[in-house]
Amino acid sequence: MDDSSPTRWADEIAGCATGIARGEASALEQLFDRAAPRLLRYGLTLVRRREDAEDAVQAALVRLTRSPQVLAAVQFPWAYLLRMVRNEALRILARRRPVLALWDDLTGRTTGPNAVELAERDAEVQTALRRLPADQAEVVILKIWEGMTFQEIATVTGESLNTVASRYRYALTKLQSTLRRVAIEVGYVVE
Amino acid sequence: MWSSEQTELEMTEALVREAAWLPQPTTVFRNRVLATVAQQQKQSRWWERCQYAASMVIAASILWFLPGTMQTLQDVPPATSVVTIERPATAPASKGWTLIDDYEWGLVQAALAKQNHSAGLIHGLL
Repeated sequence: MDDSSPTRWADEIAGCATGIARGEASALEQLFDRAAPRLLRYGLTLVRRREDAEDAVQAALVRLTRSPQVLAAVQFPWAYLLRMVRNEALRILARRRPVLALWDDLTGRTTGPNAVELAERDAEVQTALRRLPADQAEVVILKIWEGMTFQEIATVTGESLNTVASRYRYALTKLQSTLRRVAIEVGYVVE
Repeated sequence: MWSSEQTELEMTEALVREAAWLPQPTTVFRNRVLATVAQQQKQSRWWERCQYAASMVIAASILWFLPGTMQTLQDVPPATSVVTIERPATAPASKGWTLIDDYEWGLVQAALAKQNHSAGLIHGLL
């Protein structure tokens, strides 16, 4: 998770949205510089391709500038922004799914950080996350990396609280099984 | 390091948390997004102006071509002209006329004042 607290982070996002609504040119740049990495990460969880994730983020930001006052007024601005990216990502997936599936089958291509750049342990965690179904992986990322509550995650995904909690539980159980060897290696679990 | 009472699920959570990774957007992507948004905003402003102009034209057309509107506007006296009347002189009762009393005269004056006010408003709007 980022170093800023969720409340402060939400205030920053709302502040940027207010600035955009007022027509301040720097507000959008500020929003991009602060939020784009996290939006990209979330987009990647859903669409699994960097180009598609960038398209989703771009489309969401363009949509946001059409009615920025909405973002400034909602209860969970960060959740709302993530939901915008999610909607765009799902549109892209619906449009490109057949091509994407074929491409991944042919190349075995996976998206995410370059494994060379990561420690081996982190690379294994990334791989384990990518093996999860997208709807479970997104809950894990929103919960652990974004530090969101289940209520906020439910707002983002449009699912019920119970569904979100169940997905998280399933995902963690799978990750626990997948990452057991890593956990033993780093000394989290003793054989 | 982990104490023994922590569950494996919590350890898994910690493992994932420590592997947090944040992709950095490229400059090309940043410039593309900002340029696209700026272009969209420009188009949006232009479109809003067009909508405003179109709505004004439509409203003016409707007002202008409403049955009787032109006639009414042409009939309206200039804003500077105020219609006043003199109180008529007392007429002979033998011809069947009724004498106008103060109350009736007040009603006539009020109606005239209202008409003058409306005429002034319409000319002000025009």
